[in-house]
Amino acid sequence: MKDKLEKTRLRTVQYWFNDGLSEIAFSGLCLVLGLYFLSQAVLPEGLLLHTLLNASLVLVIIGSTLLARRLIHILKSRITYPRTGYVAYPNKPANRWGSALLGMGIAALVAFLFTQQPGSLAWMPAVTGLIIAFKMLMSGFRTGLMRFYLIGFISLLLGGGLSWAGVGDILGLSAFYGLLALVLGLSGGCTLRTYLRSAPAPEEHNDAE
Amino acid sequence: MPNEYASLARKMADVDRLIHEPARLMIVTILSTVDGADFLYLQRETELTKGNLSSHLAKLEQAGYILIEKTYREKIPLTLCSLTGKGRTAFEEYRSQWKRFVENT
Repeated sequence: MKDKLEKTRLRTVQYWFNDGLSEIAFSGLCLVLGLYFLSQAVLPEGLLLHTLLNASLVLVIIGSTLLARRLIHILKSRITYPRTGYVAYPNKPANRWGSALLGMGIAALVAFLFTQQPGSLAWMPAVTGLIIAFKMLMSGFRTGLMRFYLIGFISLLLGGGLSWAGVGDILGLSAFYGLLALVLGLSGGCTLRTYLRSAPAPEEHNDAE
Repeated sequence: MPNEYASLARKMADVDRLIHEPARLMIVTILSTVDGADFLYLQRETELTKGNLSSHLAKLEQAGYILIEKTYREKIPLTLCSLTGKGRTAFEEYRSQWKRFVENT
């Protein structure tokens, strides 16, 4: 009985990720970050655009995140909800302690790296890979979806590999986010394909009870 | 030994029958996990017919365990169900009763 209840609860949590749209949106976010760091690495330092880009990282992250959220909302309204129904999830973070631990870990790591300048900045891709891997591990643990563990492992490998190869901090971050966008896009695309096959479009809207 | 059986039987009889019914238990479990779910989602998850699901939802609504809102989401009609405070308390109580019962058997 308890097992059945737990399975029902878990399936409801997993439903948000069944269509792969959140991964596709996250992939888009990573792509934007990859392009941002690529432009940072390619543009000459004295250029006005380079300076502007340098100052706008926070804006880029916030803007992309808001855009990704909006995109998920629009796509789910058109693809998921008419097929398999609408579920309103609570807004509060799923794991406050985990998020707090992650935040403190990131802060400590970044603070440590900044005191070790300049050589240690080359490890930024590895640190970013570690953070994303941890976040994916938490998502995998919460939802029981194996693909999150796999993405986390790939993130760790990508970050570590790029740092170890000595690609550099900015170019390394650019390559890391670009490759992660590819991995997330593939994972989200495959999940969406499976979802669309299992849940064909309704002939007419049937939620009129 | 007969006393133990009698005690267990009393404990079983104490559980909330409204929630204990398998289909309604599934509905309440789903709604306890989220803020709300629409009719289509509940129908797919419970694999009940529209009529059966409507009947179970009506019983839960009558008991004050769930709230049913008929609304629109981007011009599409939506029947949104959510667990009330009373329903959440009843579900938690049911779970702890069931846990105690399993531990004692």
